[in-house]
Amino acid sequence: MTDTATAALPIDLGNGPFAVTTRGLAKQFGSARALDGLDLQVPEGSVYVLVGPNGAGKSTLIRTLMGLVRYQDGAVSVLGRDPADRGAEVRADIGHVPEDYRVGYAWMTVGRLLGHQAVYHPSWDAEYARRLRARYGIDPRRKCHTLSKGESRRVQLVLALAHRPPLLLLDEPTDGLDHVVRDETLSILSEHLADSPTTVVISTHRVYEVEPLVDHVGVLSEGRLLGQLPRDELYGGLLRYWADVPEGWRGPGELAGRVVRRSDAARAIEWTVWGDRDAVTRGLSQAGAAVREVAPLSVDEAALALLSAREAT
Amino acid sequence: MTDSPASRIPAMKAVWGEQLRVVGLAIRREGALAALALALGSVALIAFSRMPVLQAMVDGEIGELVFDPGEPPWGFFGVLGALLLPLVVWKGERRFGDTPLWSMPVDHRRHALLKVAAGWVWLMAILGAALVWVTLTTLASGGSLGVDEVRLLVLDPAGVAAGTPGAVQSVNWTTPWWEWALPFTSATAAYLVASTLILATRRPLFWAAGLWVAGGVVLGIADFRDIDWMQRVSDFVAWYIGGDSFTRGMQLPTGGREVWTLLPSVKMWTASSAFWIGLGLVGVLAASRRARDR
Amino acid sequence: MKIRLSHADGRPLYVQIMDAVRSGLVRGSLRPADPLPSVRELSSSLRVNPRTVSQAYAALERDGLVRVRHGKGTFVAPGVRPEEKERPRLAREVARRALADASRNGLALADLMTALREVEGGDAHGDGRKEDGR
Repeated sequence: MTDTATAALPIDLGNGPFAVTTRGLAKQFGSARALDGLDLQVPEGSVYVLVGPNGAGKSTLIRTLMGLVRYQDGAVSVLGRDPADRGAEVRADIGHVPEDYRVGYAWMTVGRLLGHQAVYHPSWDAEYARRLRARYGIDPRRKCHTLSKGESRRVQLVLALAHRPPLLLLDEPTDGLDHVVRDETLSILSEHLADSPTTVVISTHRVYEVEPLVDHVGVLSEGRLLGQLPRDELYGGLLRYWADVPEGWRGPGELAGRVVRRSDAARAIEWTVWGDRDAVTRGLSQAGAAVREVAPLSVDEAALALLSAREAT
Repeated sequence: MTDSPASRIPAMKAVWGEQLRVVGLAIRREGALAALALALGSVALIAFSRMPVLQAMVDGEIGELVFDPGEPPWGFFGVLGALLLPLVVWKGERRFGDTPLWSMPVDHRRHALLKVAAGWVWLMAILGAALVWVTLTTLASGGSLGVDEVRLLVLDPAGVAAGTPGAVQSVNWTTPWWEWALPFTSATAAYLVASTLILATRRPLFWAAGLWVAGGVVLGIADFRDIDWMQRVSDFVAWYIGGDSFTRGMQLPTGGREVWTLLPSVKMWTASSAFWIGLGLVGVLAASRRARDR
Repeated sequence: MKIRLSHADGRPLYVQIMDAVRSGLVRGSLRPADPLPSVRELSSSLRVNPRTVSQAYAALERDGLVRVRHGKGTFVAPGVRPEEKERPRLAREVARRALADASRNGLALADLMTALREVEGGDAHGDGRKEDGR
C-alpha cells in the first residue's frame, strides 16, 4: 500500500446534522504527530465510539474538542462553535470524563465537589445528581483523595451527567470500573439517553464494554480514521467469510469488496471483507471456493481487523 | 437540549464567589497552621512579659516587644507568606494538564485571573488579621507600637571612618503612617510575582530558586566591586519591603552602632512598590495569556 | 417480557428485540393489547441504546404488530393473530438459522431433515452421545 492509501472503510457519514465535526484536524506535540488530518463526523443524537490503541490520538482529540489543547491545522466545530475561540461556551455544553481518573480538588469532600460543579453549570439537576450518587453508592462526606480509582470514575460520571449537557465526551469512562459497576453505568447511560437527548462520544480501547450502546463507530490509528460508519453498516458490510477451497487455490482475480484481512490454510480460508455480502459470496464461489459461513464482526473484532491490517501494511 | 447557550454559562459573580470559596478551602489548613504558630508566639510573649518568674528565668533577656511594621522581620514574614501562597492557592490544579479550572465553562484567561484575584483577597484578609493580632499581642505584653528614636544618618560614608565631624547626623525618627500599609503592598507585590511563576512555568520552585540565586549573585557583585549604580538599583528594588532594611552595620569611631545610609521615605516606598506591583501585574497578565493559549 | 440479547448473534440488536417480541406472541406470553415495556425501561434493563429499542418498536409498528399510543406507551396491536402470520414467519427464521448452521458444518438439507426427524423421535440421543465420546 502506498502513503496515499485512504481508509479501508468509508469515513463519510453524509450530510448530518452533526454535533461535532473536524476537517483536516492536525495537532503536533513537538515532533510527535498526535492528530494527522482527522475528519471526524459525529451525528447529532448518536452514541459514537472512538476505537483505537493507546496513543492513537483519542485523548488528544477529546481534549481538542473541549478546548483544552489548541490545534495547529484544520477546522473544528462542536455544536456549531470552534472550541479554540469560544471555549467557555463549548465547555458549558459538554459533560466531560477526562482520561485522568484523579479529581483535581482531592481535599474536597464528594459533596463539596458536586456543589462546585453545580455552581459552574446553571442547568445542574441536584436531584438527579443525588440519585446517581446514591445509585453509585458514594458517600458525599468522603474526601476525594480517599476514593479508589473506580469510585473516582463514578464521581466523574456524576459530574459529567448531572447537568444534562447536550454533548458527553467520555474518555475511557469504564476504566477502573468492576463488572457490576460497569453494568450499572451502562444502565445509567441508557436511561440518561432515554431521558435527555444527548450526543455521546466515547473513547475506549475496550469497545466490548460499551458495544450495546453504540450507534456509530470510528476507528482511529496514528491520528487518522481508518473507518467511520454506522454500526449497523459495519455489521452488514464488514463480514468474515469461511470457505473451503481446493488445494493450491489462488483466490479470485478481482473481488467486489475490499479484503481487510485474510488468513489462508491449506484447504480453507478465513477472509474479512468489506463489501456486499452476496457479491462477495458470488465472487468467492465463482473462483472455486465453497463458502461455508458468513458472519458479522463485533465492533471490537472489526476494529481489531482494521488495526491489524494497518499494521501489516 | 432546548437550553439557549446563555443559560448554560455560569454568571461571573457566581464563579467569583466560588473561587473565593475554593481558594479559602485550599488554604485553610496552611492558614490554620500559621494562626496556631502566631497564637503560640503571642501566648509565649505575653507570658514572658507579664510573669516575673519567667522573666527571671531568662535573665530579662526577652525585652518588651516593639512592633514596627517597617522593620525587616515583619515585612519579611508577610513577603515569605505571599511568595508561598500561590503554591497553596493552586493546590490540586494540574496547570499544564486537564485541571479542574480549565475544564469549566469559563474563558481560561479570565478564570486564571479570577483565581489569582481570589488568592489575593485572602492574602489581604489574612495579613490584616495577622497585623491586628500582632498589634493586640504587643499591647497585651506591654510593648510599644511603632518606634520613636534617634537614628544616625550617614551623610559622608568616606568621612565616617576618618571620623570627620558632620559625617553622621542624628535624626529624630517616628514610624510614619505609611509604614503601616507597607506589609500589604510588599505582600501584594511578592504574591503577584510568585503567581506569575506558578502560571508561566511548570516548575515554579525551580525558577524561584534560580532567580533568587541569580539576584544574589548580581547583588553580591555589585557590593563586592562597589558598582554604585547597581547598588542604587538594588536599593530601589528592595525598597518595597521597607526602607528600614537599609540600615547598614558600619564601624563608627564611637563604636559599632547601627547607622542609616538613607531614611525611609514615602516617595521611595511608593516608587519601589509601584515598580514591583506593576511588574507582578504585567507578569500575571502575560502568564494568563499562556493559560488561554494552551 | 423477557429478552436475552447476544452480541455474538449475527442479528443486529434491534432485530433480536423484534424477534423476541414475535416469539413472545407465538408462545402466548404476549397477547393482543398487552403493554410492552417503555423504551426507557427496556433499554436500561438490556443496557442498550434507547434508539435501538425505538428502532425495533418502530419496525414492529410498521409490521402492524404493535401500536404506539403517544403518552401511554407501546402495546401489542389488538388485531394481531400470531397463528396466521407470526408462527410461520418465526418458523422460517429458525429454519434459516438451522440451515446456515448445517451448511457451516458441511451438512446438506437432507442430512438436517433426517436428523431432525430422528431427534424428534428421541432416537438420535444416544447417537449424539456416542459421537461426542468418540
